[in-house]
Amino acid sequence: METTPITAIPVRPSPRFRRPAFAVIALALLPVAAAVVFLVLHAMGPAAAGVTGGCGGG
Amino acid sequence: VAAVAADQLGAGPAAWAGRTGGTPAGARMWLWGTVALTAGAIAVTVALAPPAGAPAGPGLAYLLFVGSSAHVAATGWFYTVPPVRGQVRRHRGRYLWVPLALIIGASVAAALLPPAVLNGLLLPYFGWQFFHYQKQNLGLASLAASAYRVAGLRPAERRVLLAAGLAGIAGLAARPRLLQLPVRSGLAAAWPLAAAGFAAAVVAGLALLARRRADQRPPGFCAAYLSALAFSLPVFLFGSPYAAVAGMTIAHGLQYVLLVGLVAAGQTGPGRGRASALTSLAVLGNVALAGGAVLAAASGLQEAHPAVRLLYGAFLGAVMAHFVVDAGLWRLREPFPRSFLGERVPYLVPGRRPAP
Repeated sequence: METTPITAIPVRPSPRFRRPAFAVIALALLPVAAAVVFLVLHAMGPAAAGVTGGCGGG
Repeated sequence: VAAVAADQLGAGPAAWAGRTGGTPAGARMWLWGTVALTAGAIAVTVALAPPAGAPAGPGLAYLLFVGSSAHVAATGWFYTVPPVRGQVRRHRGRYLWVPLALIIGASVAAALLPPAVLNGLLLPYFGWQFFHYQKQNLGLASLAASAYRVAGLRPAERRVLLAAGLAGIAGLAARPRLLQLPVRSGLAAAWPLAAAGFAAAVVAGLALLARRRADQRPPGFCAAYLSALAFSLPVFLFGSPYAAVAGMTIAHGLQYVLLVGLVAAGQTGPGRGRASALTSLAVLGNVALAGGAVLAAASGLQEAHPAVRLLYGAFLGAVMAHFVVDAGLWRLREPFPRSFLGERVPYLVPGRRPAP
């Protein structure tokens, strides 16, 4: 008799079901990430504008 | 991106010769977008460059953020892609241990070394960074040849592109103040040699381009090749660090973000449509923005207390890790990058045909 190994049983929902929620979360986080960037660059002031991206001592 | 060129070298010019059929619209959009971003970044930076001694405005700060920290962080997106994670597991050295060693090693060095010594080490670090820039330019020129279905870059064409980049690096080593580095390299006398070398490379590059058959140098390919050839020109034209260097930093980052964005949007397979591409782009945006914010914050800690300067070292290590990871993920001579990019951006990386 043929048996199905237990490891073959799916334990996670299909990516198709998970994707919409994930997409909403990822899109909702974009403005948050942009706000973090704004705060960091604002706090750094001119130091954020080194010619090689901050590490040139600018 | 840099290693895209290797594929063309491996295939040889003959493999692509005669393939001058219609260029896919996606390829044309990518190519002209890349050329416009490169030239536009340098032109805008020159226009926004502050006078000597004055700080840069917020516009330049945001452009530099995208061109430096955000584009480095964008490399992290690849680690969210299951097939790439498989490649990471198969090549833990390049994609895991070496990046970790660079981050840890640079952190320890930044914490332990006196600032003057650290500044001295930044000069070779920037040499690597600008070599990475030119390798990416070389890769983009090769990708342009591939996208336009013309003969790949010949060894001499590759050599002059590298020579032009190396001349730019020599110019920066001769004048480290262009990098805003408070060090004396002792190479000031090399400036005229670097400038002459750059001019010679440009002339040789133009001659090599002219030697191609007319049907092997379409305008799009020429634009990509010439932008790669002249990429270091601002180093020799401007005395302002911003006009000379910041434009190259921004151009390099924007080139990268555009290409990685296309790769992220290029979802394939059953059940993967626009929503999936949008999700992928959103994840890329989050990784680039959030990771970029962390890197930018760390990049400003150069003169902090040694224990905090450790984070500045981690920033340097992360940038170097980006160089190493990038050099592997875009190496189209190898099977995985070729199949991965061939699926995601088939209009840029078409299936290879055997040489006639």
